[in-house]
Amino acid sequence: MVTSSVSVAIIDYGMGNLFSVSNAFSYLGASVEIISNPDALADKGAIILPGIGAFGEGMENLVRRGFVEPLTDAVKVKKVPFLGICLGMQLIATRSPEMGEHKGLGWVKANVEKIRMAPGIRIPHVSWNGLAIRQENQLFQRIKFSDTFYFDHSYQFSALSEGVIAYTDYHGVVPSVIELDNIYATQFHPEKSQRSGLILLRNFLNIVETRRKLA
Amino acid sequence: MTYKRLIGCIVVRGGLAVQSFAFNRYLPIGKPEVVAEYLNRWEVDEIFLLDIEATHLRRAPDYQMVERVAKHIFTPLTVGGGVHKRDHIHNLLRSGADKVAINSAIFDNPDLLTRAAERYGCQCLVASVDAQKTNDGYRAYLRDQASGQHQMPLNDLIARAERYGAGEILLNSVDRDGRRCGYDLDLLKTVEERVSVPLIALGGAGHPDHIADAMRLSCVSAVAVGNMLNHCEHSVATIKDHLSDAGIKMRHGSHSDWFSGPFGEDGRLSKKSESRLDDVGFIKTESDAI
Repeated sequence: MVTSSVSVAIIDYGMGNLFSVSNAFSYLGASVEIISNPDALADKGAIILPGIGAFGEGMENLVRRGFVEPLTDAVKVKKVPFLGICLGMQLIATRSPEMGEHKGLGWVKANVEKIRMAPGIRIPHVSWNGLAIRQENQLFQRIKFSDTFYFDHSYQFSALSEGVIAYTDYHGVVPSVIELDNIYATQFHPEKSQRSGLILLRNFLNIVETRRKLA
Repeated sequence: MTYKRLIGCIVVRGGLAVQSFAFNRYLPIGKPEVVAEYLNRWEVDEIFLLDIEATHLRRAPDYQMVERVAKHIFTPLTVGGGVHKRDHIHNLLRSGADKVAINSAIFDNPDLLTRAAERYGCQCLVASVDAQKTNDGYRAYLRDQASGQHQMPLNDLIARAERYGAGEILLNSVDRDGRRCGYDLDLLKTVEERVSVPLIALGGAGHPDHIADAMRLSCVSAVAVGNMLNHCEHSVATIKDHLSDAGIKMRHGSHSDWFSGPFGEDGRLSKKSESRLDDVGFIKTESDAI
């Protein structure tokens, strides 16, 4: 078993599957801390914003628990490597219309929108689906064309969002991976995508280590 | 390109995984976490963990069991049974569930779906619906009710579940449960027009061809299998191989080829030829590092 020296902070803002995400990172040998207090963000090697939930409630919880400023400072100013998963990806966008109009963290120039309705199209998009990689990245090392990931969402990034490095086809274009310097985000759940997902998370940990060595 | 999902269904009674027959007879399999670990290794697309007596015994979901199961798997986990309050959903998600299945609360407390959808999103909520054929068409069946009483026409219950916020419908045929005679395709077609969220078929699998028949229906997004996955090594992988051969695109996580060969009429793999078995011993497979 390969281990990793990265210390990973998983943000607990009352939304979603913390257990699954921490379980996956523990499996990869990282030291994991689930953080519900923003003060504990200091000196972490990487920050994970997981999430299963509605946008408005998620944003409200981040505000109420005092996470917005410390997180923005750590990610945008201190450039701590960041990974947003599913709702955690959508929250870094500018805004979302999910159950009312909501402002997001605004770290990337992107709007969230409802998956386009069409006859015979099921919403939510619940499925294993592939990636169309638009730009090579260390995150995609050893990820093959045939690899698939688990998606479960009703809203998505708009197609013209900033920083999209992979798309997924769901009767239209769904941006599925975002990269913007130290900011990474996936619309799918790598922690629930078996082998391919674990390899992607391993790649993320490797990126964190590489960045630390260069710093 | 999306794939139709093959879902492994672990039915739990008295803390044990069981095989279920006609909703009234049960055979023990063993610890749910062991079943889940195997299903995960065999690359099942999703796991449903359904505790069928929690509501009957009026107890909350068994969070420790969910934690034990979730610890071993890296595939989506949906947990159902005894979910009646928003707290239950919250605690299940924190214990390792990725989605929550709601059954009897759709009858008596549908607001739960709406309140949960506002917080967790529709995509996290599966309406688990048991259906039975009656002289009066398909009716929704409530496990915890006096026998023979059907409170609601099936389509009404499904419409209600969607209206209140369910993101998927798990449709279980009570008549086919454990019968190994194939999915109730008429049942699935009956609801086809009414469902706009993903529809999951359950109940009746006894042969991989049954799964193929259900998957060929355009209204079916996923097929759940319970009893048939037990007592058979690599059941998920061999079934998926068979489905791929039958022309249904399946997700294959690893790069193995099981050379499944034909399934017999009893739904079990037929013995491979002696020469095939001889060859297998000399195939080198690279280890799969993560």
